[in-house]
Amino acid sequence: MLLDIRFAHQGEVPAISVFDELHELGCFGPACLTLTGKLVWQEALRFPVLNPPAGWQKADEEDLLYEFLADRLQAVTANLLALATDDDSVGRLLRTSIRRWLIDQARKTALGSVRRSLEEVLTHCSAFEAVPPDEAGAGRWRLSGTTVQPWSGPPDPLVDAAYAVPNIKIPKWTSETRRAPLADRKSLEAVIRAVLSTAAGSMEVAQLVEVFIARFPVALDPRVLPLPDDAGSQITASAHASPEEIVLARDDEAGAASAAAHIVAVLSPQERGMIPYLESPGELQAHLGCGRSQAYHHRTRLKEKLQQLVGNEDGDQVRSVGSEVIRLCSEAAQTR
Amino acid sequence: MSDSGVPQRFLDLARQMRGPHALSEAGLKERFGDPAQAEIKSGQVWRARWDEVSVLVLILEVEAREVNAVPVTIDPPGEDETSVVVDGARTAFGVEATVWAGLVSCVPMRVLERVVDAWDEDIVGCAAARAQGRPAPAAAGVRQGQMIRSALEPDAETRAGLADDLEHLQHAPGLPVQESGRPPGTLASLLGDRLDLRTLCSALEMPQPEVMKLLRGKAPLPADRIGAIASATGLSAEQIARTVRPLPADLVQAIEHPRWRSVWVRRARQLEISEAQARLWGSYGAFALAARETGGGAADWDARLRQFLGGEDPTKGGA
Repeated sequence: MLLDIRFAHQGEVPAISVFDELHELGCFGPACLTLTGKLVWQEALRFPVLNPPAGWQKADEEDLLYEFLADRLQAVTANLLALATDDDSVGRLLRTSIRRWLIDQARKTALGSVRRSLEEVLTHCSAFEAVPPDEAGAGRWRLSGTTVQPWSGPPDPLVDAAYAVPNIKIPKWTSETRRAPLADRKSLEAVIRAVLSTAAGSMEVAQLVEVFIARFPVALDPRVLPLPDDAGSQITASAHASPEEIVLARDDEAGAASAAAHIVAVLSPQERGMIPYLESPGELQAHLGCGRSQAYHHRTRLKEKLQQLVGNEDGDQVRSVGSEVIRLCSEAAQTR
Repeated sequence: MSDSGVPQRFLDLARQMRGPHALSEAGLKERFGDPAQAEIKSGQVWRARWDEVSVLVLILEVEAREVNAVPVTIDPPGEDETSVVVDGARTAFGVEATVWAGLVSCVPMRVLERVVDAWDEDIVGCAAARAQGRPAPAAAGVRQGQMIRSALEPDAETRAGLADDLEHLQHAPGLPVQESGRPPGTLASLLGDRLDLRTLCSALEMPQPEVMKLLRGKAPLPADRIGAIASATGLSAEQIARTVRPLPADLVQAIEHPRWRSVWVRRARQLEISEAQARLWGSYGAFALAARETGGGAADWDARLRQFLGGEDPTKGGA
């Protein structure tokens, strides 16, 4: 595997400051493009969901870089001209832009998965039917046996209705699965039914997807690996046993422990490391080495993610799973 | 393949996406003139920077030493329910820009570095209205931002990062200012329990009786020793300087103006000190020069600074 995007004869790229090149040309030149290629590749390694089926090939890397440039270069160039002050700041700002773009790409792949899940349920559950071709809203979906008109409007009441559905169960999955599942089939049916009832109209799949990603935002949340100290090198698995491995080795039969292990497996290494500090904002900030607002944001974000992954089944079960997740991650932190 | 080894299709694409001329050095000078003559006005978009943190800010109001401003982002894209999104055709950026009105803040003037754009009143009106929690009036090419529904959305992280960046800018060290009717405290009272006389004597390379005079405010502290005390005690140079000899407000206002920024940046680089130390050095130097000279009337601190700096032109080098 290549370590970064290496254009042919890369050594011939003139040793010019990227900041100077940008201001002299008014656009990206060889030096800026080479730096961008390197950063795109470093950051792409952090998103396993973006890995091509056959692994990264040189053509894949160049295609990814070209997509980024075609999509964002206009805004990135303006941003750097307005904001960067030297080579280091060009690098920092560029990395931020690239990382965010890759997150968006990872979220797009998850959107397709959500759509397929919903279509599967809509097609095979007798509670729902497609609007026939000769009726208004043909091709949309509605509750079976109804003759409602096409729905339109703000999604907020529908999202609220989706949240109000009790006993959402999150199925178990393995660490080999790249994407967390939305919910189990019965839960999905119940939520679709609640949404269509509240809409009192037929809906397109895309409209349902919009409501579902608002209700289950964790479904779009990509797994992000930490950037290695030697950025650009191949990321390897930790030599330490993961919290999931620790718990599986114990052959624990308790349901809560098993569910917790599956949840822990979905969390990124950074998220696992944050869990022991969730109730200590100051310590979390020190652990992350970031500002107060970012620490607060990471805390809120992780709590929301855990809440979604645990589901809203019976309260005792949720509490047990939550406690077990904290215990597993705290243990893992102590073993490091 | 180009001579540089970079595939031609990448270079062609980059050329098609050339940045706006208005943001180039020449374009900025055409629009705003010499940076040393820059005046800070409402509606301007400035690059604010301290250390490694750079943020674009739209100025809503100008005070004596600070501005009321809202952060603006170009990339990555992002918005929230309090923001307004401005079409690229209405700014020098040529692409959409988000004004995060919910993050309105007082930003010290000393972190403003370069004016990069000036926006029409209707856009500023929208931003100001949202900053005050009011609905934005209609304006061409301006729309309200969309709500962030979940902390898991990437825009939530962008917003949190901006809030931290603004906090960092707000805490950029300033200069000690004379406060009317309030005598400065002594260094001894500032240090309190932190006072370690032996360490202080060692750091200042001065005998104990002399250090005691400094602590009690009986002897003036040379400006070049402020940094040594800051290092030895862990307090900021600004806190220490305030106990010894605060500076006139007019001088501080002049010296913290962005027109002098490039001088302090350049001095810091030459002397391998921080920008804050370079500014402190310049301010006490100009102050001492003024104290030695006689004459009535209000001091022209910009002239004093130029005199102290040996006629150094603030437009040379720097940002």
